[in-house]
Amino acid sequence: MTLPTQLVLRAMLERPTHELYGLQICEASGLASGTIHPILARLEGLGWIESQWEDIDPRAEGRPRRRYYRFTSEGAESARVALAAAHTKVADIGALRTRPAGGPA
Amino acid sequence: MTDPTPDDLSLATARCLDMLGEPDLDFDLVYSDMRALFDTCLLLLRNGHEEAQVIGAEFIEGIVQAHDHDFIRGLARDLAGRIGPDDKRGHQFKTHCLDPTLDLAGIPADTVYTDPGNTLTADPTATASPQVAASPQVQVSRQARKLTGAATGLLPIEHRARYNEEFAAELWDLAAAGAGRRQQLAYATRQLVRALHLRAALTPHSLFNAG
Repeated sequence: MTLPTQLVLRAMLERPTHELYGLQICEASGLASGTIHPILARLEGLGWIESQWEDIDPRAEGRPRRRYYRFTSEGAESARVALAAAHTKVADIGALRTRPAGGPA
Repeated sequence: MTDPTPDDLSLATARCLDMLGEPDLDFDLVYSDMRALFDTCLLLLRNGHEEAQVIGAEFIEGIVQAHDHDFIRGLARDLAGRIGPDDKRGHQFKTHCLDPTLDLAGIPADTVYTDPGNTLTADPTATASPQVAASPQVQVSRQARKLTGAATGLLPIEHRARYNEEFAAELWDLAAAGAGRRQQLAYATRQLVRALHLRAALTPHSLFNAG
């Protein structure tokens, strides 16, 4: 499992029953917007997460509806197990998120 | 000059749909080609080629499947705006091509043809639509929308409408949060750069790792 995928899962596991939309997941995971959608698509394909359109009337709200993501009933547990198996040190992930662009690896 | 054949129409349809997927649309060219396509369709029908009707319907479905509401509204408004009051062929084109496209997309025609405003840079006097920013403070960059449109154009066709709408919503949220044109373009560029990864993630058994 790649580090970005772990970051997305960790971000979503912080509030596993909550729905998040793409930009919220970007912010929570520290990843760029272009990175998360392929990951979310794969997780959705695995059945770990599901997505649905925001239940609003865009005409009344005056804005487009968002696409919200959340874990499926089994997805959160599968994610926890996979993260545990990934043996990725939290410190490594923290370093990835805080490392300045062009800085040392 | 020989009469067109259904094959000619099929090729012209494919060319038109490809053109509608270009990030920088030349509306003069689009209008010219779509009118020509429509005229060819009519001529074939008059000559007894019933399949022309099917191809015409496929063309309309192709537009709706490949593009989001913002795009379809903008296209229909722009093309309709070129039809003069005495342009009978133009009105036929509107009735038999533009109106069915709006209908299939679930967009009320009156909100398109009576709204002179820009659907993406909100006009406080304009009628809000399902994909329209109504707040005068929200300015979504057209170039950014074109880039996200190009990104979704790289996805499998069955996923394009969904991601078009999802990216449009994210762009709107960015703009509403105060992101300027440059930040919106950066967002859209990232979607474009990663579009093949998203395509791979959406395609079962792909060998390409989506990361």
